[in-house]
Amino acid sequence: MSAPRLGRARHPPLPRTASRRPGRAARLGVLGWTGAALVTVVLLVALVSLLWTPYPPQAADPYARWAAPGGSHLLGTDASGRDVLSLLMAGARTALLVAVLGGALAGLTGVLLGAVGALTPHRVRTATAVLIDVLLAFPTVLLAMLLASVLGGSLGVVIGAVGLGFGVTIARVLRGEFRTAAASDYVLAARAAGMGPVRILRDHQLPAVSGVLIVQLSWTMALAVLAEAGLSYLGYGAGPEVASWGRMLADMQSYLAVYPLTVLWPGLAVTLTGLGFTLLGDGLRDAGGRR
Amino acid sequence: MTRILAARAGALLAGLALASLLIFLVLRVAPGDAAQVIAGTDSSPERVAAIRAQLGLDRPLPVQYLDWIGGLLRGDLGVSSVTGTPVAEEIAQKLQVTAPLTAMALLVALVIAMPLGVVAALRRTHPSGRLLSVLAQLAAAVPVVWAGMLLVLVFAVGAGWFPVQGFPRTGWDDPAGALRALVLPAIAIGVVEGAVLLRIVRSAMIDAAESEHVLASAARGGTLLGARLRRGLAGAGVSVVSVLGVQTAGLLVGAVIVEQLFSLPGLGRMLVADVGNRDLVKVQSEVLLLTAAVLVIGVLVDLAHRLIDPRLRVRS
Repeated sequence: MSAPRLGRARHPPLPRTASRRPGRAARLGVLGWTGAALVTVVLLVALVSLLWTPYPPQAADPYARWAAPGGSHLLGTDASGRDVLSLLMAGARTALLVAVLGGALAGLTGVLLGAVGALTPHRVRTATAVLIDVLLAFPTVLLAMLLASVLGGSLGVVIGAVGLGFGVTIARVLRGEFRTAAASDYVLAARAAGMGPVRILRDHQLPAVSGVLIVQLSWTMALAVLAEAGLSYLGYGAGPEVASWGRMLADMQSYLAVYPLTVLWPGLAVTLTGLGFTLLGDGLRDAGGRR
Repeated sequence: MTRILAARAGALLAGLALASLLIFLVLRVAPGDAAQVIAGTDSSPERVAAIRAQLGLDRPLPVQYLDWIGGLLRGDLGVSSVTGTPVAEEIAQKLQVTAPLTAMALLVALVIAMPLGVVAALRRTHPSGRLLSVLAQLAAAVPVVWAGMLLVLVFAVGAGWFPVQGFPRTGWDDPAGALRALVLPAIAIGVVEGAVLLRIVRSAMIDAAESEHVLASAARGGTLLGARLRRGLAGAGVSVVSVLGVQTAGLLVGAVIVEQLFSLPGLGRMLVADVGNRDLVKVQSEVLLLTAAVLVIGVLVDLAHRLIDPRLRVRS
């Protein structure tokens, strides 16, 4: 006969904390739905561009330089005769790639730093808080330039800078949320029932902060799209073989006075994508009952 | 107050030390060899080693770090490994463009955000107020470089009021020319940053307008609108001051981009060039200086916040 098992392993199955995701989708509101629609359109364009674009995005046609909009090139061509619509469609891919991967990295950084800054012993917690405050003083673009000065410009540098730079902002928000959750009765109850800290984090604290995290991620993705455009404009983003809205702006800058129309499209694409993620984040926040 | 000052100063020093360490480590430990880059890909190993020794990159990391910090404390930011000129001298010169540029951009942002934020708050249930906040969201999503290009199209290429690019060769000896060169860049940054500030002013005004002391103030005489404006503006001022630290970062990043677009000889454009040249010594001093600016302004803002908001003093 084995001895009765004591301690942590024997607590009865406990209900997990319900995830505080923003409520029913209907509560997104008009603006929230507008944001969701904008993001969906960009996503669809990016997916379609994987299979089809009117012309291969990088195919330069020297006989069709600066073709006027309409006709065989719906939005015209650029200085080397590349189809502007095809470049725009392929650019959506790059913007979303940075938004999704940068956002994921930022979320991971935010959850890890936030949890360490809220749930560890006092000294570690304080040190992490100082670290978060210092890292907040690094603008993301500056961080990307720092990385680019050693590694050279690449999409990886942009994604890394977006993930770390905006991840710290998320960490600061989540630190407060984690502390509130740690002081709650359900965490106390879980602890009293003998649950270990890792399970409490997984079953109770992560669901409690997930709503705030999702809102922050949406806003981060808006900032990521803007950061990608700015960094690619400066030449730290994707190489010339990758279509990017920021790089299109840089390429067209010299012809601004002569062909002003072409400069409108990439800027508009960045603005509407950024607006989409911002409005979606606002809608999710309001649906979750937070200001 | 003395204790708070001491605590803030201590935190600032710790922050600066940490920031310098992070910058140093990113530049030294990350893969990639500055000496190799300067020498070129097909140079002999002996030549790379010679450049490495010349840059002092062959010394142990702690020695390099302490050497850099020791120099900083004496006001010596090092010497550019590409041009050989002292970094401090160049930075002082470039600040003559970047400092007025960011100050003007902040002014534009405030001029946009304060009145429009107040209107958006007071009329928030009215269609015009809603339209204003949606427009603010839209403007906040505009890339600074695109805002600059549109301004150039309308006011430089179209109307011809401002130069398309460039800064007077004689600098501030030609005050009118210098100012004219900075107007469009400052507006490009200011519009985008102003849209962000507008939302902050709006929500602070709404908070204040809904509080009971506004009703009480109106009940003692005067109009509800007057009370809302008085109380709301006080609240909005406090909120704006408290986010100025974060805004500084946005202004600096905006400056990097518009200086490139308008080819202004400022700090941002120099940094872009130095990153391109892999001028490690300059990049590390410049990035630390910019980070220090954000940190110092953050502390000043925090102290100013305490001075203008009595609630914080009571709590501490």
